[in-house]
Amino acid sequence: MKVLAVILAALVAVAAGETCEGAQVEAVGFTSRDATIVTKIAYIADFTLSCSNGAKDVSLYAETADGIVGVARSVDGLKYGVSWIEDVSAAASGDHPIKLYDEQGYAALRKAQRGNEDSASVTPIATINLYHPGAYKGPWVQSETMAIIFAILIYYYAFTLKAKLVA
Amino acid sequence: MRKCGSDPTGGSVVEPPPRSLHTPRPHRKESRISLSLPKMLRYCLLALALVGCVFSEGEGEERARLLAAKRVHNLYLVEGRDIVVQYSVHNVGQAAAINVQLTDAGFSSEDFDIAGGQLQVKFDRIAPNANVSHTVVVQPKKYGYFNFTAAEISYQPTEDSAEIQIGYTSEPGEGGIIAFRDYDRKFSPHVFDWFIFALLMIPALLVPFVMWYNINSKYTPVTRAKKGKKSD
Repeated sequence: MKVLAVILAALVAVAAGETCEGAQVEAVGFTSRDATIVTKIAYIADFTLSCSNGAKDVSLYAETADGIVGVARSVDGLKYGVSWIEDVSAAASGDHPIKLYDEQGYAALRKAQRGNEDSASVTPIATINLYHPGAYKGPWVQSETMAIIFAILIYYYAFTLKAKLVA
Repeated sequence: MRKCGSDPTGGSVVEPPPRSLHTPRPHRKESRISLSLPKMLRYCLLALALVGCVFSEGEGEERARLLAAKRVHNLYLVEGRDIVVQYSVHNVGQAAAINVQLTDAGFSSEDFDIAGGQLQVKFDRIAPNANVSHTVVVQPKKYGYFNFTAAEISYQPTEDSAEIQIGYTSEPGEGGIIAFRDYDRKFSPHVFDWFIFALLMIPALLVPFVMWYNINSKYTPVTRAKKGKKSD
């Protein structure tokens, strides 16, 4: 039975295209740093995949904060890209893990989700941590407000001195 | 033409690629005839017409149909600052779309820098009823009006078809890209300007203060001391 399962798995692997073993990813991340003019924070991770078994043209799926999505590829097939957007108010700073799955992992993940099982049991072929340092949303206090506060303080000081003199 | 400056998410309306729609003409004809009919009958005819459309579509083989939208998620478009462009593709057909290629030729390298993402990507397959989205962040190099055009999407509608279907995303429309200088003048905290203002204010405040302080330190303690001497 076990042998059969292995053969089946191998068949699935053949049908689904090449599998990637010992995956190494080299990723370049981008997140929006300036939230003053945009309404959504963009998270973009571009990466290249190299497999120890030399597999090429591997279809990938990614699990992000956005759900499970198919990974976009450049037309030459060398570069992969995962991207999603989040509302500025909902975007949290820190690491955003991107778990990458190949076809088999994706199938297992879908199966686990259908059966309401724990999807953590499916191990991704690689994980990218996209670090978002937080976005600038504008100054906490407007400079006009600061100027008015200073003006009032100076006026108050001068006024109390004058009141003392007159008294 | 919608303007991005005033309504940046203007492109959010999902416009189906033109060729995937059945022509609205017969439908319109139907309703024109039925104008004279009672209301009930008119609705019946309309429903029949719609069912007819669905059936006529169902008759063919199962095909993938992609709807694609291109949206700009910006409050302002500013020279040299981020513009977040999102493409979302939805498969409303019954079959998976194969080899989906999304190409946006609208952002030429002389007018835009790409801060993140790729302008030409492919997805191996998009399952029926599935969504994919792709995000690109560009930074305009020049200011002025810019027409955000539709991106092109091409795919094989069935698993083994040699035919390649070409569609277009929705068009966000024309948007005004503000010069950075103008944007900065309007929205920056003007810390430097306020600093200059404070410097200019200093002589006007400091000179009377120093004069008063000198007089105050010259006379006030003396009068107090005199008071003390007198009491002695």
